[in-house]
Amino acid sequence: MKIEVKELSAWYGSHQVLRSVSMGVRENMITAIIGPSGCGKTTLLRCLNRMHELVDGARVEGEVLLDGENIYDPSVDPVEVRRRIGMVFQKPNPFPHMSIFDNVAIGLKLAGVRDKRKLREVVEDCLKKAALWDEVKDKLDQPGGRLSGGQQQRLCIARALATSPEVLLFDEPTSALDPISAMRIENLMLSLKREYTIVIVTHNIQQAARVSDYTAFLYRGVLVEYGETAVMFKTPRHKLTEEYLTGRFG
Amino acid sequence: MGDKTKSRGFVRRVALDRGLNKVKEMVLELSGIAKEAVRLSIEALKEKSREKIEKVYELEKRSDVLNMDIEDECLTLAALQQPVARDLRFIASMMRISNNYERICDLAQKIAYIAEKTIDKPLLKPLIDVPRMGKLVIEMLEINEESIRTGDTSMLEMELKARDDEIDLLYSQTYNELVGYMVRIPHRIDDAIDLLFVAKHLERMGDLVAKSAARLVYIEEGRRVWIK
Amino acid sequence: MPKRPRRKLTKRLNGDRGFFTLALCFALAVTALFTLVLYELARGSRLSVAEAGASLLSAEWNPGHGRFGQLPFIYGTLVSSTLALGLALPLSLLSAVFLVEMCPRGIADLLSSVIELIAAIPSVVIGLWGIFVLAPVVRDYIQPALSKLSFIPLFSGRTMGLSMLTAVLVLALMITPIITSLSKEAIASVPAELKDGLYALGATRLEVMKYVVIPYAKRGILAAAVLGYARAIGETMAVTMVIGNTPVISASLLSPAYTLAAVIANEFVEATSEVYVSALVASGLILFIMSALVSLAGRALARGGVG
Repeated sequence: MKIEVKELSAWYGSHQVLRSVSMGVRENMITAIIGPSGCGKTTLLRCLNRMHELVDGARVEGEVLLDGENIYDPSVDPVEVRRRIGMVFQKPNPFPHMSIFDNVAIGLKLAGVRDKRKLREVVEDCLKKAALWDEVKDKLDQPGGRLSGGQQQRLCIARALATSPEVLLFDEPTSALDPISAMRIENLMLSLKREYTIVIVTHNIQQAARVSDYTAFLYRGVLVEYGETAVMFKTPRHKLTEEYLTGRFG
Repeated sequence: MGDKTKSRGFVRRVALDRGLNKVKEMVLELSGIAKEAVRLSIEALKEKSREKIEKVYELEKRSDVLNMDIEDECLTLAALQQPVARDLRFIASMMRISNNYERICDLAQKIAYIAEKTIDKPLLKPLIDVPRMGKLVIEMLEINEESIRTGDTSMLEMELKARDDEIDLLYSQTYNELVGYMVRIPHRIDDAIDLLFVAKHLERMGDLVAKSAARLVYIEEGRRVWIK
Repeated sequence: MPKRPRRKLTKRLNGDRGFFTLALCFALAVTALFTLVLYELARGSRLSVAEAGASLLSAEWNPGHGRFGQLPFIYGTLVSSTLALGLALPLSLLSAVFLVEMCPRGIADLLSSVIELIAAIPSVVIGLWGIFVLAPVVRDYIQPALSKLSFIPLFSGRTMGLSMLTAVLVLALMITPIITSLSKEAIASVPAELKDGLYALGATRLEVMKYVVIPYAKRGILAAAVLGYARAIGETMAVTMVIGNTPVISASLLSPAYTLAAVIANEFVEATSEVYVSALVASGLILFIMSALVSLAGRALARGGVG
């Protein structure tokens, strides 16, 4: 298990969003987290790279082990955690005031890399991995905000790859995109999983079915079921899971 | 099958539910046709009724068409509604059950052929076990129908296994009896063989219904059983 | 099903036209007012321009001897405002960043209210505070401390407390609330997703400020600074009470000075001759043009891109 979540609970102020969730994330596999709105899936994702605590009044209890180490241990630097666990957001958010090149390079610069040649190497490598290189290689110094939605999202993926993370977290990465761009991103995820461990939150059940190897179903902050996607979509064990998957749900 | 899932939500997938119900009704209709075909084929054999033989042929044709329709409806639902979990199991299983029942109608037709072939000859022996086997097959079909309607599969395995076993037993009996006839009345060997075939067909029908019941269990419970 | 009555597509009378006309009238009226003020100021200054001519731009203001050089006031206004901005901007920016990003909600609201209260204090009251509290401090503490550096012209000389330095301090205090509050808005309007984006790459709070928040909020912060500057230029009461009101141009901060706004307020009632009055109107015209230029510069900067 690349990541192990143990009895994770999370709050926004006094409102509890996650209740004692325990599950694993397998290395070099895609794990999907599904559930109805408000079930806590985005919160769970954000707890995996310590982004949840950035919100005023947010609180976390429990453990999240990355390769056996608890990322919530007081001695752990959250900044380091976020370098090893990257994130791609629902709405593509490239930095509009930075060029495409700078957008990808910033992660490295933050980590202290200054060598121009190394930066160029990594930027090209990441843009290639994100299947964006051919489209932008001639306009690397143009601002990051001028690309199309699908391109912007791939830019964000390249940006996340720059810090050589081991895990990539995707928060509903295609919900703001048209179907073809969405499909490209899905294909991208499938190719990325050879090198990275991927966790994706999605409200699109069919997407979870298409791309993931394992699926976790969350309802009102509780992990109801977790298992191989192929099995869960044919023979779910819990009534709730069945109801959600078959769409007979409010 | 009845919808056992309590509606936790307010959104029902209307199109899918409608489609699933339609398939259910069509399969029940096919089950009715199969029961009728089995009953009439045996009666035709016993009573040497040309009318009943024709009826069986007609029923078999209808079962072909209905089976195709069921498959078509299932494929349409699969393509358009992206069914998963129970809905998916339902569609896949109903297609197979439909095939099985169509096969039963084929076998009934074969019995009708034999009835037609021997219509001018007297029966080799009074038919006792064969009608009994036919009755068991019809009972099994009815138990399946009930299960489809209510969604209750708890007694299915037991009920169908018992009857299938009985059919197998009756077949053995008939087999031995007919072998005896073949030895004692050799000039009527082909009649004996015909009757043997009839028994064989009925034994096969029993298997098909039992297989179908196993599929019903798979729909409701997601586990595979063998009812032999 | 009953058929719905068909409605005509032709244009109908509605309120839009009337509203448009009304709004247009108001806009034109405002423009007309501006032009009128400008015209009147120009007309009023004509006499002094005719009589004193180019000497209006000299450094000598001596109405008794017919000298109406505006330079000391231009100098005073520009220097006091610019230094005040230089002092207030970093302070305001830091406060804004702190209050929006780092301060717990409850305390932030409290501090913000306090800062905004300063803006509510009448300038004459601040002027009073300036005379009775700040000036003595300048005289008794700051001046002796600076005397060690008196070889630098900036810090040379002595003062009784009413000086350029005091005015700069007072102006800085007065424009801080508005710069802080507008900067806060600019900083708060940075989309959370942009900040999240950099945090997710492994950035510290400071790095997020540096690479995302400030660049994105630059435009708003610039606008805030310009607004503060314009306020400082036009500030009359508090300045005139603490600046010393002496038309000299000196390199020293401790020297007294005089601003356009101050001279108009002070000497208008005692302007004896028509030329005198006209010269003061000319001061008003200069101040008016200055404010307009600052405003235009501000808009140009704000539009000129995030940088």
